[in-house]
Amino acid sequence: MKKLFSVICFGIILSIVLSVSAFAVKLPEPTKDFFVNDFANVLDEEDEKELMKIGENLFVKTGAQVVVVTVDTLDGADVSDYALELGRKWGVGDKEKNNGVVLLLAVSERKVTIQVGYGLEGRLPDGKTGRILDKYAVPYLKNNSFSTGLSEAYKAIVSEVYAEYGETPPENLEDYDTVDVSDSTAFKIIRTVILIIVILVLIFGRRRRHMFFGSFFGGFYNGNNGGFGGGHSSGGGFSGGGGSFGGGGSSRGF
Amino acid sequence: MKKKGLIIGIAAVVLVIVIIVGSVMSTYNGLVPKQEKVQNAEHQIQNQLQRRADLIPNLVNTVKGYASHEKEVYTALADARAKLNSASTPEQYEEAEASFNSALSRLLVVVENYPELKANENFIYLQDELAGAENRISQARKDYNDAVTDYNQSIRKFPAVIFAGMFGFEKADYFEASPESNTVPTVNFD
Repeated sequence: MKKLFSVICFGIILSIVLSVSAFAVKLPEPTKDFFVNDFANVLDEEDEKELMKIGENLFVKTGAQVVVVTVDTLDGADVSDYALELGRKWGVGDKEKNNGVVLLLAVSERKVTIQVGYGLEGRLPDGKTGRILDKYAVPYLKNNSFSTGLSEAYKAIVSEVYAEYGETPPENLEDYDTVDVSDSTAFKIIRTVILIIVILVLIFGRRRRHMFFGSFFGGFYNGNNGGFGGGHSSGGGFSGGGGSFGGGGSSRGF
Repeated sequence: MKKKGLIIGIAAVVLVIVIIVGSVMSTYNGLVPKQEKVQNAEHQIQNQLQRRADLIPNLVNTVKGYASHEKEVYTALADARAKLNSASTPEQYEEAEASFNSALSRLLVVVENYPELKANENFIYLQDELAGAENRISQARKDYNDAVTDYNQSIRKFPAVIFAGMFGFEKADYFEASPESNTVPTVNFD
């Protein structure tokens, strides 16, 4: 009898310990579109299609996965924990490279978060994800323009990821300025220097200009070709690659 | 007839020994990576504590621009950081973290008095970094506890339970939030 009692006690203690460490909230399964999961139904159909295409292209070109998720409620969980657990469970990003990003909106809590996989933390440090939210998401989300806010933030993230892989982003993603605040002065100087060099080249290097640009674009073209060589599978949807997350990213209430 | 019985007996004993040795070996080999994982997870916590501490000089510089006279807070932070840098045992880490948390809380209280500082882009950036660092620390702790659960369960199971102690597989301790770390400075934007 005593033994049975102690076994039961042990069981209870163990289950308490387990419930503390394990994530208690039940998480949704990804849709077959994978990159866009509008569970709260707040995205416009057009935005949804556009984001889907952007996400797909990014994945094909770089192997990175940026996933946007909307939920009605977090069931009491913390928004960044929820997004992190989703990222882990779905395996957003490549298993080796951990290059996944989760952009999550919780409608009733009015919270938004960006969680970044280990592999992209260098390009998307917490300060930068916070800035992306402040600049591209929160102003719209405040006015309940969920679709626009998320689309803008998504595009800003994707343009960063393209930059990480040294790929040129598609034209509609070029204007997202997410320069680090901490080295913005350095950036300005670099930009000025580049501008001066370009002007000098244009003025003094007229004869060689042709050659210069020729080789420049040649290199670019080849680079893109290499990216496409991976091939594109059609139909069947996408799924996670087993990427993991460690808590990098930032959150905002609005 | 007697001889045959003896052979069968020896064969049975050999078989039993082979089975026992085999199961001990495979259990042992199964425990090694689990124990390794616990140790890794523990180091990960310390890495993340370090990472957060490394943000401090930048943060202090930004805050100083607005509140240069709050010298005590800066000294406390510098001391706590030095403590963390010289920590090597889990206990020392815990102690360093406690003083670090209290210093950081005081800094954030100071910040409340400077609305301009709170609106400063650089400061917002650093605050995000700090919040992310807190997040990473708590995640590292959860991962550690999960690794400990997995490992402790394994050494409790049969047959590991019989010899785990013999080979030095001691029960690992869970990370429990100490009273000090409940005062972890909350950095959020709500």
